[in-house]
Amino acid sequence: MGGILREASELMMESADIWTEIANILLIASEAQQDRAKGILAEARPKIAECADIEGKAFKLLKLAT
Amino acid sequence: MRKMVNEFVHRHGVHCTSTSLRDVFEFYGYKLTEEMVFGLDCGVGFVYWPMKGAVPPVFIGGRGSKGIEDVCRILGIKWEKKTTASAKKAWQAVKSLIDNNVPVMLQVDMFYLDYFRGKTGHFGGHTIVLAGYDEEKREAYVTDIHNDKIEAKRRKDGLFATSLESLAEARNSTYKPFPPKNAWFNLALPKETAPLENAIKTALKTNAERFLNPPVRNLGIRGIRRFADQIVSWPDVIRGKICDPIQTKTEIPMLKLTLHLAYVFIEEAGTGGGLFRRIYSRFLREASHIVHGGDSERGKRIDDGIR
Repeated sequence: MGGILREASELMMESADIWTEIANILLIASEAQQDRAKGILAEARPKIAECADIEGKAFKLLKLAT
Repeated sequence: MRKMVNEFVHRHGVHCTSTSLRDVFEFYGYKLTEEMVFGLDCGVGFVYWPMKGAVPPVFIGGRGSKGIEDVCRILGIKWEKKTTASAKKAWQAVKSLIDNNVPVMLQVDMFYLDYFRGKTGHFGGHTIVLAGYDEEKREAYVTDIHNDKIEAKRRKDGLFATSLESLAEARNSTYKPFPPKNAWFNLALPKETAPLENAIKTALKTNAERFLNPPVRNLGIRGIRRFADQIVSWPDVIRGKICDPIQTKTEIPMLKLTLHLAYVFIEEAGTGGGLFRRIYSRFLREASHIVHGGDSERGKRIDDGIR
């Protein structure tokens, strides 16, 4: 079980890093004009979806382990 | 009259509830890391919550727990959240606990705390621990998380001073969505808690189940996917202007505020960065040593005395 937890830990840290990237995109978008914000936010969309995939994998591992 | 709780120690922390609980647990002789408390509280989740008429109109959150309910249930700790509409009764209740050498967890709106003035907007779901007071100086002494904006005001004992009046305002704030209602928490730690290894397994299972199978589409993994689907449409649907919640005399576009607060809710605001995922990652790493190696010291029950 320890190995699974370590793998899940790494996945969660990977997701954390992407969330930080997403946060920075949101901050940049907050400084942009309303009409430009849409294009900036489009960059966040695949990254958010990637976090869902990574965290889904991590929690499926944890569920199997317990 | 002046009273400080004897043998109370505050340690560095990044998330308010986990840090507060950690400090109180240590006071009762049960030493856990902040990460372990966070993990045992089934701490990671996701909330994507549009709220018509609210400021901001969309709330983004990375927590999945129910306050302190999970960690207390999993460890076998009895707890009670007390509220009152009376600021006077609220102070008398916690003052009495301090006089009996009991540190008290409080729910507050951080906006009103003296050391946060002008540095934050309203958030009434903030948690601190009251560890003392001085009625002559009209000051309360409380814990708070690490935050670069306030560290210069931290005392040598790790606590912050705030006036009794500001503390009363912070406790009695009516700001939504988390008005504190003068809440304080009574905790009763048993002589024996659940073994840590079992507690970890229960918390992991609960957290995974909630994240993967949320009851509504705005939560857990479904909430993240919904956020991804809707983020690009925010400039089309979030319109108008609003008073800046910190510099209250300035008007700013609602979209700007919403995006800025989303940044804050992910990267700042007691998340430890990365929407609480860093702290949860460290919990999983620590847990891997305990469930793998059967760490006897960390896995022991509380049996070395309750004050």
